Amino acid sequence: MTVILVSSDNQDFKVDKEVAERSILIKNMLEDVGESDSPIPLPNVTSAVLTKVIEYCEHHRNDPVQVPEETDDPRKRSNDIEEWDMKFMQVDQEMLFEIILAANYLDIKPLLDVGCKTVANIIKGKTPEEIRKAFNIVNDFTPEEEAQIKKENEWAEDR
Amino acid sequence: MQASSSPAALQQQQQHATDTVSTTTTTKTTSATKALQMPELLLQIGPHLTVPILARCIRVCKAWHHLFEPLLWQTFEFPAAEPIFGASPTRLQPNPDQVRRMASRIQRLMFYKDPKTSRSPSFEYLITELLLPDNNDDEGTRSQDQLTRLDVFFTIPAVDTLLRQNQRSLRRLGITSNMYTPEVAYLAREVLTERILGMDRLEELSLMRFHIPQGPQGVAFLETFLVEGQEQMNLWKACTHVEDLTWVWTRQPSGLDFPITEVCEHLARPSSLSMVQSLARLELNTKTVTDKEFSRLLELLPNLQRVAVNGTRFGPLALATLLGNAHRQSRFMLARRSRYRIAHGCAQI
Repeated sequence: MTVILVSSDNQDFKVDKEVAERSILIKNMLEDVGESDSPIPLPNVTSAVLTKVIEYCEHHRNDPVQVPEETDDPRKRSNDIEEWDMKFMQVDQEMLFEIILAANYLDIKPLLDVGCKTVANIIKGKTPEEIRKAFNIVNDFTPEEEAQIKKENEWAEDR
Repeated sequence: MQASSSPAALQQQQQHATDTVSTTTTTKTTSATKALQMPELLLQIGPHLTVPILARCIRVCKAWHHLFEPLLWQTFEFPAAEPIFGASPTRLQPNPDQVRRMASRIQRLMFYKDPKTSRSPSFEYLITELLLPDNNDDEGTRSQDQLTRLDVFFTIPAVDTLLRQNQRSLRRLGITSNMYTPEVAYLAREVLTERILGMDRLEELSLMRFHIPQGPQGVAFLETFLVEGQEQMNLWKACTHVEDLTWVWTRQPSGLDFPITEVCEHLARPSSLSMVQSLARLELNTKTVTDKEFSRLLELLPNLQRVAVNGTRFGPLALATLLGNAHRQSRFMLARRSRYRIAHGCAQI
């Protein structure tokens, strides 16, 4: 069984139901409307991004449903990304965040996780100034405030 | 989309964050800008950041400070007074005011400081401010059942209070003692065992030079270091659903080692079925177990997926058993300092 997804720029994407249902949003929509072949509009996702998202869902179509793991132990948290996912995420920063926003909107938890890990890896080696530059964030601290926060948290940077 | 399913607290944070960010970002709206204005997304990124990285993130802008500061404090590790466990001896400490302000955020507390050897002037202060929440009244008040992880020296006076106050929330408990004196043994047996037995959410228990005769049934991860062999065995027997067992022996007076004969006899009994079926990972550090004995042990534990031995006389018999078990999912094998250097040969099992 296939479903038709319509991107914000009005392009139709025909995908297997099983693939489309990697998105919890779509899965719930399909359950709500029951048997129907009317196209599903996705006004928040452009065709370029939807192509990527479908590529991800195709590749992971047979993955077991992710159990929400309670990672209490920081030692068990890992920023390891599967090789295929890593390659998949090798896109420019604009597309990376487009994918993250789409994964969030479509409720595709594993894709959102991979995206967040990728962003975490970008942040990792950077100073605050480099982070601001990378993500176009303006420093709204006064120099005094910033110095105070830096001083207060020196212990944490030492960990 | 942002607010509909979020709890009220998140909405508040969100509002705050959106207010602050929107006044600061440039007019050029990119997806990055949009995504990084969404607190729910930032909070998803947070758990992938370590403490030193979080400490840099909170300096980026006010919104990031607001969102990431609580995450920075979720895990708090007090520095060790002496370089134990490879920790650096002279680490910086946060100032007491900051500790008091953020204490309610701490969920995982690691306190490897032995008060008997500590010479830090602020030590007592931190203990009373942070570890004894009853003493806090206004903003720094800590609620009951806040900690999910606690690793402490037994000799800290506040340990019992901490255990009592977090009995319903603790998922990991690690207790270390410098010396297993009769006094410590008495307190452990008479006072703490009952406390620990009442922890119905406890999943991980790690004891070093410290022993309790019983543990909660739900414990899946059990680590015992430098405890007398028979006592380690008794605790394992009491925690019947251990999936991950680490048993460490070290150069100590005799009587500390792995009682292999008794362990095998016990596991062979029908009543030990749940113990046998649960155990998936075993790390064993022992000096006296022979190849033949180890082979017998592996035979009795068909569900092992990962075996790490250190110092065990792992040899051809044990290897044969393990290979015979291969269809039973034994996947990884590490043998360090064993008589037979087979680590590479077995890595593929």
